[in-house]
Amino acid sequence: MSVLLRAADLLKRPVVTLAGDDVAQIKDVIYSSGSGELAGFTLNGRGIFAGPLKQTLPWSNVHGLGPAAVMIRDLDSLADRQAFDGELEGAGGVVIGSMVLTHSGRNLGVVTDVILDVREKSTDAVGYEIEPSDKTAPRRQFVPLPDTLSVSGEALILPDTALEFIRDDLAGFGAAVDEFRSRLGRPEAHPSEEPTP
Amino acid sequence: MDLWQWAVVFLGVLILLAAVVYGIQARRRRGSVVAQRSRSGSGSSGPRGGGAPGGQL
Repeated sequence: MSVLLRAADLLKRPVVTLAGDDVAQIKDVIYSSGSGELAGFTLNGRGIFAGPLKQTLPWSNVHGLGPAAVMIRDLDSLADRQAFDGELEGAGGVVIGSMVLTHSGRNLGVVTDVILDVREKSTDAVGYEIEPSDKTAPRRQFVPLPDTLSVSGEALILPDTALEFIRDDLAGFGAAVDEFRSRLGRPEAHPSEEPTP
Repeated sequence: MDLWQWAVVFLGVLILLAAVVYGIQARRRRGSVVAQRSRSGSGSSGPRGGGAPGGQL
């Protein structure tokens, strides 16, 4: 089964152990800029004066992800910060607010969220929700991501083919992502090589 | 100053301090969606062991 969800929906979601202890709250959602795989979460403490925790929650230690809480087995599921000491991308790694450019230099808009595909075996970033630069377009659009992402400085780079697979809502976006990726996997047909009717 | 006046000043300072601490912590607590290059550089994300969470949405 595959479920698409917005990464920002996970922010502030409580982290609860199977014993029922509310131990933390999601602060950052961290994913690999190379493969798009979800790496895990940084955490905030509970309580109004609590700050960020030194512990993190790797995705592999998540027991269950529900609409009300992120479930973990126990406190041992939390890891230290070294679990996420990879190099952050430009602008501190923050993707929201970054510009989306195509290979031909067209500005598609600004990222407002990242779409995650939660599957049985893995969870990947499969698309961006963007606020289009084209003011005649709908207020929100969904752009699919290739298997291998390109993130450079403060801009997120996509192949021009992505333009054909932009959708206005999440329904059907999963199919658009699959089609987009299979199109990228295929060698591009040269116009002169296309059969004539 | 009378004792009650000192008490009011003390309470005021306490409330101000609490508001400042709350504001600072609120800024620190602000989260986002973050992209990071994996340490190995092989394209796979570092900490993820490939295991799937038991339950999902």
